[in-house]
Amino acid sequence: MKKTIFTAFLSMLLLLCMVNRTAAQTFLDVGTTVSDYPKVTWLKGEAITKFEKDKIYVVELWATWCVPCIAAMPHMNALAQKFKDKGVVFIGQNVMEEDLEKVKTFVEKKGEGMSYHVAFGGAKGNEFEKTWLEAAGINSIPQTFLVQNNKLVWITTPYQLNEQVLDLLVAGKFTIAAATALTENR
Amino acid sequence: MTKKNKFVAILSMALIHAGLFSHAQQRDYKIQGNLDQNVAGKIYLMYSVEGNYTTDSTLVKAGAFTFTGKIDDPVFATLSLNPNVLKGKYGGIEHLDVQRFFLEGTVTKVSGGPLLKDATITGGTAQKDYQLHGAPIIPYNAKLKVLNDDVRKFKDAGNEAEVAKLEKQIEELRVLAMKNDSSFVEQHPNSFVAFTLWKNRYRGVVDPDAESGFLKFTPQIRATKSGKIMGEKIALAKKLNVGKMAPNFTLKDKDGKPVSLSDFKGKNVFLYFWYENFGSFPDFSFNLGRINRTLKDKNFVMLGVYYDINSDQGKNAWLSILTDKKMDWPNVEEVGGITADMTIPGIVAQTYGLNANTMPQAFLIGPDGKITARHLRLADKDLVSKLEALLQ
Repeated sequence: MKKTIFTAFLSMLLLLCMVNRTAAQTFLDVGTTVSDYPKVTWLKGEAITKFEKDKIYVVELWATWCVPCIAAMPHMNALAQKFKDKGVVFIGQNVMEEDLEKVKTFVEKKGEGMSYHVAFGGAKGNEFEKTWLEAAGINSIPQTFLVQNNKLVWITTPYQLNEQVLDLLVAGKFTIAAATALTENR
Repeated sequence: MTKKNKFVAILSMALIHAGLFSHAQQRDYKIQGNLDQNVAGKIYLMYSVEGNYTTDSTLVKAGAFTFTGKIDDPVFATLSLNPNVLKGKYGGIEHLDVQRFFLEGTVTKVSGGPLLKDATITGGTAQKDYQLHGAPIIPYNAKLKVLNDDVRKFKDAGNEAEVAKLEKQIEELRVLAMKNDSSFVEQHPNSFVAFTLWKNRYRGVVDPDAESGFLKFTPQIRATKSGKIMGEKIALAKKLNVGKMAPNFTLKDKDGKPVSLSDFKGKNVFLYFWYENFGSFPDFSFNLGRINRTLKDKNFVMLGVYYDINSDQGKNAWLSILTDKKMDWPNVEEVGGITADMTIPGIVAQTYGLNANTMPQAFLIGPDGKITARHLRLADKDLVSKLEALLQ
């Protein structure tokens, strides 16, 4: 009797797992709540597993083959230095490549040119790709995600992110309209 | 986009689409060539009228040749002497010795040489204006050539600092060329060349603010074929301006059932006119999904109107996309409404001024049926937040 119940329970569990695998895709839109950082390989800085409510996160996508991403690194690096004591966390998230050694070598060579958290996404189908790239419709890089109060507040590009935009975030006055007005006036 | 030859580009592109329809008020033109006695071979004449290209050719004997034909308004044309006709599978023509000029319904004389590019071309008023306008640009072109050669040298040597310096100078020359265009336009309100220069800044969607520049031209210019076309575009721009009632229409959905814009009165309507692959299709289709997810419960509906401009599959391509991309909101089609050869048989396309140059387009329409916003960019990730701020 016990064995039958146990087998029944086990098969029900398996059935539930199979059903969950075919669940509808979740999307990552501006306004979506984000709590956990996807499982990635951290190459520099402390590993980040959760988004903290009182911090602002800049998740900057890059790859060793992405020329404009690399060109934007000095700009990102300068902002990272300027805002690190104001509760802004910069993450250089490597995506769309699979050679970990190549990425590691690149990051080592960059040295102080990448003075922020750096992570490697992983092989095709990795968690970051699924839950952030596919879910947000990201097909090309560079791309920058801004997170505040555990919410995605903007999907933008490195050169639209400047000091004034970060000031808005820090002051709690960020809106996409205000941020785009700043970049349009330049 | 490279800055190379930018204003050989400016000069020629600014003038090259001087187009008009080929009926009514046609005038005869004649081109009389008298090049150097030793010149012989074949010469080509090419021009484009409202997207319709004409190519003519004739023999050159002891430097002499003649072209005759009919056109309405003056048109920017190209003469090409002894081009290289390429053999082989793909053919094609390599133009080596050319000169551009304004062809008009009068006699044009081409004399001098031995190269065509060194010949003198005199014709009607338009040709005079063209040379008057072009004279200050000749030294710019000479400087540009030197700068472009230097840019190439420094790029090959990897010297980015020098390249940046030179590109700044190229930009300064470009600004000077633009100023030359602007003052020519200002000072010649009765010149067809000036009108062509001005009008070619409005290749896409025309806005009502084009009217003030348009009215500076004389009634004579505004009555030309291209003048009338521009006048119609401005009238349509006023009709489709923010605050005006969006013109109603009825088209069929995927089940063949008629759907009208007026069916959605009382809701905010995101009306978009599209075709496949006007840009990144994945970015566009994902963006529609974003808008739908975020706004669908906010007194909001999306209405897509499909055209098959670059697909020869008619409705089938459209039906596949709707299913594939789960476009579960109202979608209608006007397949065949805009054709690849620039004719616009579709009534809705005509009503909204849609053609290959003005597509795609999107409007936000309020619950009262009035246009709330236009010039919305369909692949813009920030579009959803822009729309949200405008919902009533």
